Amino acid sequence: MKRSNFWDVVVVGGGHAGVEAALISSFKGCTVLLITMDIKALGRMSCNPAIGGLAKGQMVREIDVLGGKMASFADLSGIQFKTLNKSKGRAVWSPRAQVDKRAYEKEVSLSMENSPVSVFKGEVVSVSIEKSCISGVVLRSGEEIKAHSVIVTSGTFLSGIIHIGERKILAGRMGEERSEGLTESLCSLGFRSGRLKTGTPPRLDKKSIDWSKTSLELGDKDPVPFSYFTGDFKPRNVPCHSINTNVKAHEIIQENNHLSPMFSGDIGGMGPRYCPSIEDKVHRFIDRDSHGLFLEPEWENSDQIYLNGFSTSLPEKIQIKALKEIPGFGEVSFFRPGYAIEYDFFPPSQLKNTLETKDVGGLFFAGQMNGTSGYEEAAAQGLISGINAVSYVREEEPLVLDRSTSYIGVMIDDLVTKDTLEPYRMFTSRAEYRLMLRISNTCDRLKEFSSNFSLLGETRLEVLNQVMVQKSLFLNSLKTSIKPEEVSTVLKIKHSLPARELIKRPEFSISDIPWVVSKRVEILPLWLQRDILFDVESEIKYEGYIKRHLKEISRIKSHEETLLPRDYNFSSILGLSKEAIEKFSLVRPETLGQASRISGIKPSDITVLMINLFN
Amino acid sequence: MNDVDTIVALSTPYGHSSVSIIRISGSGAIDIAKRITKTKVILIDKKATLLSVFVEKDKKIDNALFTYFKNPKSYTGEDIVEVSCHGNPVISNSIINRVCELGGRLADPGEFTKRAFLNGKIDLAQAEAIGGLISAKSEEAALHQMKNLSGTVSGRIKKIHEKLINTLSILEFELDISESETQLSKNVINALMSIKNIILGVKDLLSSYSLGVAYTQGLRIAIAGEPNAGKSTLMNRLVKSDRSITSAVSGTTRDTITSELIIAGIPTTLVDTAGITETSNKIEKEGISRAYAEIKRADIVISIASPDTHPVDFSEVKTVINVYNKTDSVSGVLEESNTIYISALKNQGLDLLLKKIKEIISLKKTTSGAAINTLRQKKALDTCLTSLSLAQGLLKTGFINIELAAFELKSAISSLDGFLGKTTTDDVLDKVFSGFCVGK
Repeated sequence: MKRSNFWDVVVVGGGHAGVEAALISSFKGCTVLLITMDIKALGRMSCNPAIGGLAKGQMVREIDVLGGKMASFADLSGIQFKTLNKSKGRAVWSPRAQVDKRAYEKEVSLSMENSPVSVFKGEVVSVSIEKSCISGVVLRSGEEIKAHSVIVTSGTFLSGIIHIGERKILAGRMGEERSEGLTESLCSLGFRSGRLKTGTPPRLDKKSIDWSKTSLELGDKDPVPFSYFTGDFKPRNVPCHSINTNVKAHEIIQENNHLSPMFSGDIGGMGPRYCPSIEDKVHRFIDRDSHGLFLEPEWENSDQIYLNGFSTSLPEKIQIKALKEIPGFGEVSFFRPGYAIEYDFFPPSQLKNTLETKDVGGLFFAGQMNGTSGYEEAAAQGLISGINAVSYVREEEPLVLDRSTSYIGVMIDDLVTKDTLEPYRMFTSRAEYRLMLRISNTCDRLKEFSSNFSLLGETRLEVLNQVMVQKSLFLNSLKTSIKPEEVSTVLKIKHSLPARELIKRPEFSISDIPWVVSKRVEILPLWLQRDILFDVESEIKYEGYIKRHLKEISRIKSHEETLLPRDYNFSSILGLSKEAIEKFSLVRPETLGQASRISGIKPSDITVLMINLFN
Repeated sequence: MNDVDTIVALSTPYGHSSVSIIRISGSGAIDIAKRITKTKVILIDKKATLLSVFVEKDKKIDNALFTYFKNPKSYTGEDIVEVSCHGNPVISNSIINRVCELGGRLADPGEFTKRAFLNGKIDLAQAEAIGGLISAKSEEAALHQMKNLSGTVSGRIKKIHEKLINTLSILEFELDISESETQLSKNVINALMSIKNIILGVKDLLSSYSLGVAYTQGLRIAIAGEPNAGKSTLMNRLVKSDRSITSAVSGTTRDTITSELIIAGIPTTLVDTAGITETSNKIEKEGISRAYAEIKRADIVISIASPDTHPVDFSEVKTVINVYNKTDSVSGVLEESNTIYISALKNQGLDLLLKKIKEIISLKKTTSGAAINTLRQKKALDTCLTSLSLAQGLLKTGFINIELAAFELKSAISSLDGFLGKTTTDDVLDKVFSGFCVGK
């Protein structure tokens, strides 16, 4: 294939970040080249065979509205769907899908083939700079590729080291070569790098398990997809299974935990506390005689079973020995042991809130190299970096989502403000306006951006328009008063009152209003009509709380809109505490709002900053 | 002028003086002034107007001068109303409280000046000077806080804060980590128990407010009872002067009479009240209703009875000391342990009464350990308490809602942020990760 020698956008890496970045920038009309070390691994799911989950599910639908593809890929390749948190609060409902990894990769490849994106196999070892702006990348072969903008999405591949007990393997993923040299190239330009660690559990042979000792775990009967553009939805409901560890297995793990590189100190990088290894769980919760494990097929009818909950870097033979103590695993055998991987990341406070680096124009970082973990977090960053690379190339306004609009906005603001010390994963509690960031109002929150930034084709935009039409149809019908005789006799009301007021009472639901259900936009699929109905109900029931959120948002709005000058000399500010000067100089906040969220910054620091800013 | 929230603060030094000035600044200043005075009088720019001030349940508390400074020609550049009231902390606190009820909020330290700067009312040189000043003040405040951390108010607030984060982490575990419902009901019960416990702590600290205020503003003791029980005689004995007119005629005292003295190092206002009785006399009736108002306001009530009068039951109202007077006039009184027997006329038993008052004061001191003494602290704890009760309700009903309970707990936490600095989401997640077994 003959390649052009100048590209609008070059994407380095073909994981979830790289794929979204490439697809959106090409959709927006840029010429795009994606460089990957393995063309067959586009969109590969390196760890668990699932998309979505708590807080992540919300993010997947945000990606969907902003023109990303992860939601559609997951809907097409999902084999079991379940909405989590249903009994805990309506704003935190989160869908999760068990995904057929092979089918997922196939969907990604198909989508890439059908797009104008060019894909090239190669390894980028350095970036080229002209006048503090990016000008291209250099490959291992020595060839230079010229580009207007470059998005690096190197995942766990930069100087990756796999640990299994005392064994060390230089690799980016098991069986895949790591990337060398790019870290050094970036560091020579003044970037700071660090080490992080993550882990993955063993993959078991289906035939070696006694399934009669496991319990069945099924998905929802009336599943909801991720994407607004998935029509009528009838996915498969392939079961997973669960099993519990026992004291005997724990004893073996405890006796051998000195062989785990995390305990022996062999791994320097910090691992994710929310996804601890089994040796860590056993060690810290010594009183528990059992931990739950989940057996998840890696693809439909696969022989390979992902053992969720048993992430470990113990030696392979200890992993097997411990598992064999568990009834059902007496004869267990592996396709591949669990392992830990260490890799280079770049503390993301070196980025603007557009994901462009602060010091090199046109150079963007996205995904796991920014210290995040998870497919969804990576895809979201890939998408935003892709959109903003196009804005950079065309000298247009970038897309910056603030914390009140989306989980994606919360994540990026956290990343560029906090300099994460462990792999960053999204949690609903990270969002201060959680009650407003519902999966069911994703369209309301982000539609404006997808039309302003031309992120969706006309058909898709029209679906979102219809979603809003449906919502106002429901809402308007609730202005009508409801009479006592129209309400079911069990619930009873004394006087007529606006239907909206009735729904505010905890014991009433929107479906108690007989006429609402008839106000349907028929072209929308049934699941989506229900989703919107549910959201209307949430909006009404939570009105008081949402008002409190809105009050807070408007209170801090002026701070969010106050820009700080680039390269502001914080040490010259009279009256600023030493600690504040240090923190401001490291993070270099872009707005007053961001400055106020840096950990350890006091309100008085902000006042002093404000006073100096306006002179 | 942009729509800005309305702030209020005392702009003269705290304490007794001839005049106190309360400054209200922001879009709502005029509206609040109208509502607190219950008048339709239109305040005129830069003119002072004398108006009555009403606080809780439309009780008139003072006459005060209201001076209006129309934006932008005011110190902050916003609408300002300055209220000059009598220089008594009780009055100024009540007015500030009422302004907050009407939609204002307490100003942060230096906030009037900050607003003045942001609205372009002061220039660069002034601003720089203020920059230095604010930081100096905050350093000082930080030092002060460090000092306070050893076992006093801040220490106790810090403990409450810690418990709040622990409780929130239970709920966040359910929302953010646990994908099942196996531990849900157990965790809801844990959270409820913990909230109940925190509420007790907050209430205890709030109850120390009166003592804290006593130290800075003094204590109020009302002497109350039926007519002719000897209230005025007791008052005169305690203050060692003939402050109240005394006579054998029942109902001599028609109005409340106050006098100042110092008990156990605390400035104390002693209030002699009209005797409580059934009467059709208009003046006496008014005197009695004033007596009840004083009883309600007092920190301690001395309930006085005598051979000719019955004790009045005030036990529901306040801290009460039961006193039996005129022991000189009868013999063979059967003494009850919860009553102090005195003869005010003969100056007998007064030392026992004073001892009892001192005991009550020191008892308050020891149970509470630390006393809160500013309106800001009290307001923060009140807000915290409200949020906690709401959270409790959200976990108790048949419609348990974890995410709303978490919302209320976060509000409770942020109401304390003013003392301890901002709580970040990381603080909560740290607790979740360290306290729970996370990960599938």
